[in-house]
Amino acid sequence: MSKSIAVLGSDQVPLAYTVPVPGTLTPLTASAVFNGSGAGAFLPAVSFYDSDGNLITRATAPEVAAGGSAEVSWFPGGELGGTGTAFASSWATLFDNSITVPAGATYTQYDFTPAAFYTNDSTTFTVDSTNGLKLNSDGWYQLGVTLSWSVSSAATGYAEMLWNIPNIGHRTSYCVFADDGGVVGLATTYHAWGFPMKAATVGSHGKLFLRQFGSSDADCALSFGIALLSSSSGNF
Amino acid sequence: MAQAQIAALPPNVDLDLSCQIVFEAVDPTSGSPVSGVTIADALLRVETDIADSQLASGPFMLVPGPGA
Repeated sequence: MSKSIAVLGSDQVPLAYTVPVPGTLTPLTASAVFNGSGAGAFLPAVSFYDSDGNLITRATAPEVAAGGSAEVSWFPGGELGGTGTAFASSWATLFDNSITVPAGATYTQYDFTPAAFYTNDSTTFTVDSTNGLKLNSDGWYQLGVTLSWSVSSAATGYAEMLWNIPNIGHRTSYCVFADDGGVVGLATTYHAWGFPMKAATVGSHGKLFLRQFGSSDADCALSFGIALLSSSSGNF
Repeated sequence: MAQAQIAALPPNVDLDLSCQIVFEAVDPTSGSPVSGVTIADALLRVETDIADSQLASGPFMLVPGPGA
């Protein structure tokens, strides 16, 4: 059966509870308010000592700055909610609802329009109509594309992302996107997510190539997004 | 205003006669005790086979339950 034992009011640290009689006592949780208004920086701690005074284990809480105070709760698993750094991914998006996808099976380069391009990291992602999307940081990227045909006659189509590696001088395809799903005569919207891809050459340019089988469509909508998953240039 | 913190407590540490649970303030760099820190409302929730009447030790007292 669990029970609470406590000290009412204030005291100085270290504050010790000694198991007073033979028996077994297992701590489940602990809590206390530490007031360090007259002290330097410190770590609030709960320590367990054996009967000879040897330290068994010490559970510390995050650092309290000089002059600070903290109400600390200890419990198994408590580290899961401890201090952490928010994950901030670099990303870029593009939306263009007036692009032309030609008929046939010829790749047509889509030139990124700077006005339709948004990013939270203009260092990692830059864009211009000549070079397309440029990745300025090594790392692994995830990208996705949605392409909507405005005519229902589009039988098949797909979008493909090719990365031009300037220093090597040839193009390498890292992501290939969807087909039509076999639906003919219906409004067509194609969604595709690429596998994570590696851009290990700083300054890689990405060009989006579009191709459609069947009728051309001069009023397509393209949504494109890319996010930096990891700045590591190593392999998964 | 005290900041609220949570921290991990190792589970399943069985303590017996004369073992101690100590609330401490330690230096972040050296691990040595930090003086000048006071503590309030220290509370331990424990699982034990020790009788209620024998749990009090030092400044720690058993918190009475309903009907005490």
